[in-house]
Amino acid sequence: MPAAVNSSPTPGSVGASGRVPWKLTAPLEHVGPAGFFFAYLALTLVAPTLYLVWSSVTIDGANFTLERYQRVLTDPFYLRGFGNSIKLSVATALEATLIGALVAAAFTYAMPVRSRKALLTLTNIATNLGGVSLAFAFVALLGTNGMLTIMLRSALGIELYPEFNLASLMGLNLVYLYHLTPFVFLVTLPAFRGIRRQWIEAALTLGATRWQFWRYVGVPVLMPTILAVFILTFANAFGTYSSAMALTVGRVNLVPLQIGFLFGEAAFDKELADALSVLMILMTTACVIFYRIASRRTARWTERTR
Amino acid sequence: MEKSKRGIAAMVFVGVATMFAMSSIAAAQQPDAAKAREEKKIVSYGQPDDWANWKEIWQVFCARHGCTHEDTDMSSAEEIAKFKAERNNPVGDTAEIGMIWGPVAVREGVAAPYKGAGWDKVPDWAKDPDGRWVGLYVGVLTFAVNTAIVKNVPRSWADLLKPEYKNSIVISDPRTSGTGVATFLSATFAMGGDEKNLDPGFKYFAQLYKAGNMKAVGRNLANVQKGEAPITIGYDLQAAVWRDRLKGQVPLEVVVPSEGVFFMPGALMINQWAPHPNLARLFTDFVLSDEGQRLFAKGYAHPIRVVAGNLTLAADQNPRPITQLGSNTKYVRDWTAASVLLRDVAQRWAQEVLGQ
Amino acid sequence: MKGESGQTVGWDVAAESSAVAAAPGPAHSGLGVSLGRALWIVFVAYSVLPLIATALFSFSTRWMTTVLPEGLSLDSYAAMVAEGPFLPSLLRSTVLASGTLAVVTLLCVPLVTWIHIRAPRLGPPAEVISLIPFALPWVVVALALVRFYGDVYPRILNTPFLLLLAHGAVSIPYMYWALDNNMRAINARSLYEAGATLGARWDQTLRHAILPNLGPGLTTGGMLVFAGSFGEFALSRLLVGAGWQTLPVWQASLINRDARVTSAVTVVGIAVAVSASVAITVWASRLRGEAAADANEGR
Repeated sequence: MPAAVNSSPTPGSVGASGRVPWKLTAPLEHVGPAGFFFAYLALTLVAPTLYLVWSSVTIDGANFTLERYQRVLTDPFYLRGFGNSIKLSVATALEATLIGALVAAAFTYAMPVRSRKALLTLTNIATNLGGVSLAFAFVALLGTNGMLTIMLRSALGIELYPEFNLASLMGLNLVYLYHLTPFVFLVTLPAFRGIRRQWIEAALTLGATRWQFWRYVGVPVLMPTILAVFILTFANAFGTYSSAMALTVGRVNLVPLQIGFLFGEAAFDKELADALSVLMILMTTACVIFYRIASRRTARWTERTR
Repeated sequence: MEKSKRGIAAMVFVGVATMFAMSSIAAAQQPDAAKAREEKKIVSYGQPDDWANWKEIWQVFCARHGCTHEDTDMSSAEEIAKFKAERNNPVGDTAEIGMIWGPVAVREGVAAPYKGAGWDKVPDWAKDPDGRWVGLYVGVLTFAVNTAIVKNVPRSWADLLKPEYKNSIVISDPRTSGTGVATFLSATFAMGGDEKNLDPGFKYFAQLYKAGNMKAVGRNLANVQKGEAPITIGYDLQAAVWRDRLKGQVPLEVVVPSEGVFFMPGALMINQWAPHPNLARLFTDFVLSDEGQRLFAKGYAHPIRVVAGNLTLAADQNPRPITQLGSNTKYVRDWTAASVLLRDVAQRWAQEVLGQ
Repeated sequence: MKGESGQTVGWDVAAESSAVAAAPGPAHSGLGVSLGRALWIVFVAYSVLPLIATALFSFSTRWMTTVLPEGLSLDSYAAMVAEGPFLPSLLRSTVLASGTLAVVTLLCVPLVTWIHIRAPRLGPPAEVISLIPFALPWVVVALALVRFYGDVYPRILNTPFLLLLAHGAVSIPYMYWALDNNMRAINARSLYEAGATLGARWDQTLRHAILPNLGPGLTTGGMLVFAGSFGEFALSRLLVGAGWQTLPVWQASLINRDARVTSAVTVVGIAVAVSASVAITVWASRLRGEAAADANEGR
């Protein structure tokens, strides 16, 4: 029983002679019920990903080649695509994380408890509108003859067009925010359970303002969560395909759209598409590494400080 | 036997054996109507109900042969990839592909050879020599203009460049849509190029884009209905259907560009590993028959056999294609050349036209 | 702060956990509260406006250059209901989304618990894998799955089962990270150690101390998973297509027939998805015995 309290189970137990026999099933014990998770994902995600990798570096399944990676990484066209995707994803991830976290805070501290179910239901509506439907809804709202466009024109005299264009990085930003902000809100909300009521009360009793509490205690406690959510939102934005395609019709150079074009009607290069996809996975892996490094520095109040 | 007589005997033997083999291959190719009845189901890719009257064609065919039908819409690349990937447990029987994809399908080994009844009636430029894909109908590229919004209807590709059409012209992207490829080729031919010389097309669209006349919304009925797509460029067979559907709501005028008529064919291929091969072959025969071809006309498409000249539509046939094909109609003849060049469209479109 | 757990000897673990679980309540006045409420009004308006535009279009007879439709009618809804595939595809999407939610929950809860209380080093690989669905456009995932299983296990191709497996896989990120944040917040490690000191096995601690506190993560993650699966298009089209037509796949075939019916399908689809998702969350929270924790929440 005391052994269970230690940090992680050792591969084997120390025998009477002091030797440490390595049990064959020890790694499995370490993995535990998580094993089902990894087995499942191995079959459904990891295996196809490895297939993509293999397909991107072989010709007709036989000869090894890095030509496609070389093509992509030296072609300024694709590099611009990566640049645009990164710029757009960083911007929207920052915006969505900031706004979404504030929305979650407001939900917890400013909205009446009775209204919570209704507010969550309204948010649920936003998470269900996506892809082509979302693109059309935004065209109906902000297109040249959109509801809001006409309202702004007739009521306030503001003419959106031609400076504004839905099928641009700016328009995409707006649409991405639509599906990213509720996402951030919903994923961050559980973290507020970690701000103990007693802490706030204690701080207030000791004479601190709410602002000081949040600055010195609240936000630092939430920092690992906020970092995680930022990374997650960045990845989410980076990989967004259907609403971007429906909205811009390929007008903006983004990596997921370029991948889609390789399966479309003018080009047929599944291996190049696979290479681009592998690069995207490498990017998100880099995100996780970055996140882990950054969170190690900011996690000060959580259980990892043992 | 003497040497010379042995030689002759050998030749005769080889000759007879070859004839036997060829006739048995031909016999193997002929669909078995009884077996087709047992197959009971036929699955197609990329043949949606609303396109070229596929709905009625499938209804008539399946009522006659006792089968059910399912279709899933996909791009030509997806269809080829899916046929190939599911070859060990195939589901799809037939697929409609852009004719430019014919050579690609053959190269990937996914198209089955079949030369049935009606094969000879299709012109050479619209079929694969081994029978692996065959053209069924053609569509003419036209402008569909919402006359409630556009007061001065453009009549030519040159007209479209005028500043009065700023932010009005909606096309499908050639990288994702067969109609987009056709739009691009149509302008290319109108500007003096052809399938071996695509530069005029790129130049034209770069100009159009720089003029600010191209509008970036999806080219679909929804946006036309909402008034967000004043001028769309697409096939006459789709424009006619949209015009019918929007009657009373949106007045749509269909215009053939004055630079000339340009059409593109739609091609059918049978899956090499089709699970219902007899039905697939009977279907190919059906759509090349008089009856089948006339059903395409009811969907406003020009039947390939009418283009070839061996079929005429009744004078009172209604609905019928809304455009006329003339003697100076342009079209692609060398599909292999076209398919090679189009591989570059993806990048050239992005860089030369969109400036990415 | 850390010292609290040192006093756990003799506490009832469930009581301790519900004290932890009680969410901080809202303040009643002040600048922060006013700003917060203003933010929420903007957020709700922004969330609901695109749907209002879609709904208006679905009710319109003609709507091109005016602010509001020129006329209203229920024709598109009548047409939608009259379409044969409407109800079956709606049911399929609902069943699929529910199945996906079940699969994802069954996978993620033990995993996230295990990582937090026993094997933190499994965190990074789980995180990397869980981001794959976000990194790849799902067209690529679909075609990779078809190509891979076409070679390895062709019998599963074109079956709804494969679609369910795929949906489960791509929905993992939504649930995983919500639960991860939840676990971190409730300090699952200390709860586990407290329970272990009292003689509980890890799964007993899971059921009685941790699970009741996972309400927020399961609710919000569940909403995202259900919504994602219900509205998913690319995988459904390429993995099963017309053979097992889900609502979005059927809806796509309407876009060039009548856009108002397409919009009507969007409206109804959202209504059904939200209702089903709410129903599931309510039922699940009752299962987890949230009554006590909820009582603590309302102040």
